[in-house]
Amino acid sequence: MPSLRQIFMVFLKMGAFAFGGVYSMLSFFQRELVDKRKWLSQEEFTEGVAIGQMTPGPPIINTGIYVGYHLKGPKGALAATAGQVLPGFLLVLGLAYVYKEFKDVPLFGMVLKGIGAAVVGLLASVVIKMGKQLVRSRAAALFAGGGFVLLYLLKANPIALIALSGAGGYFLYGRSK
Amino acid sequence: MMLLQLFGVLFMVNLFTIGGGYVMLPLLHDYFVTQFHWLTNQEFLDAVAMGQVTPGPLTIMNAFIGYKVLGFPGAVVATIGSYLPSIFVVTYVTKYYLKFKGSRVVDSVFKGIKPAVVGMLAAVAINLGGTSMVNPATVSIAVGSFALMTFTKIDPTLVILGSGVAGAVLL
Repeated sequence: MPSLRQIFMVFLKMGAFAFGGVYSMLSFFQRELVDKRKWLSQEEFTEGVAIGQMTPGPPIINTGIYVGYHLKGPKGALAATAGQVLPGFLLVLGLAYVYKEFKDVPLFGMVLKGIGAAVVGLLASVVIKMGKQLVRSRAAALFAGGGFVLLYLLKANPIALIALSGAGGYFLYGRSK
Repeated sequence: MMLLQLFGVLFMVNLFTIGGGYVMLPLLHDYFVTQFHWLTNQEFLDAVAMGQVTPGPLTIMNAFIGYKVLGFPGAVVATIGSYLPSIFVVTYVTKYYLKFKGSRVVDSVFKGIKPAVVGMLAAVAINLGGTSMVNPATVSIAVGSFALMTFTKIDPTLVILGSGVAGAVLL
């Protein structure tokens, strides 16, 4: 059984190299935690991935919390989260400092405008990919269209929209059979 | 007071968004840009970019927002507020996993929420596009990064760094 320090260190390492999205990270987790260190069985890991995806927050952090909790209870969960989050946190802090200092330098402003435009392209691409995967029935299209119209045209409150669509899902899919 | 508000909003947003990352953007945008006016559209885009180029989930962008609004304490409070809901819920769910597994109620609720979020995200993308796509150069950068992200497997970090260079050259 690993110590809290060991849990923290392994997640620190994984947090520092966490580039390339959830799926490449999961293979990293698999290699470090299941294959190399044998802290979890394959089945336990799969369960952790499933739990990570159905709980709020970033799935990869959640899977880490599951692993930490599984190994050492609530303290293990904290150690795993702290390790995984720390590298990104420090880097963001550095970037935020640079951002505040140099925001008004013209060249930096141009770089940020270029990046801002790219982020919009990125978001559009996420919409298309998520849409292909999730909007596959007429009912789902109605939810998607409803979410768009209510937020874009009517400026409805997003939390209210999430609650409303959850209730809609329950009435449509959850009751009868 | 603002620290408490920052913590409360991030705790709530992260508690209500399953899937993390992009799913939370419509909510964050509504609070920080539309309601509180703590950030402009451009600053919100910058925050997304920072979250994207750093390792780990996009959620770390909240530390950037916290720093931007309230300095170092803001960054710390934002980070704790963002990950605390996960710690509570995951440890609880892990304890009672079998009860939740395949629950019809939970499944059906999310069958409604997931597509709605896609529509909401589209609305936010259009709103932000209005701020950032202001001339032929920025429109080409947006269209180019959209195409790269949709049709290739390129890492988003590279797209963002490349578009920064393109911005410096073209704008």
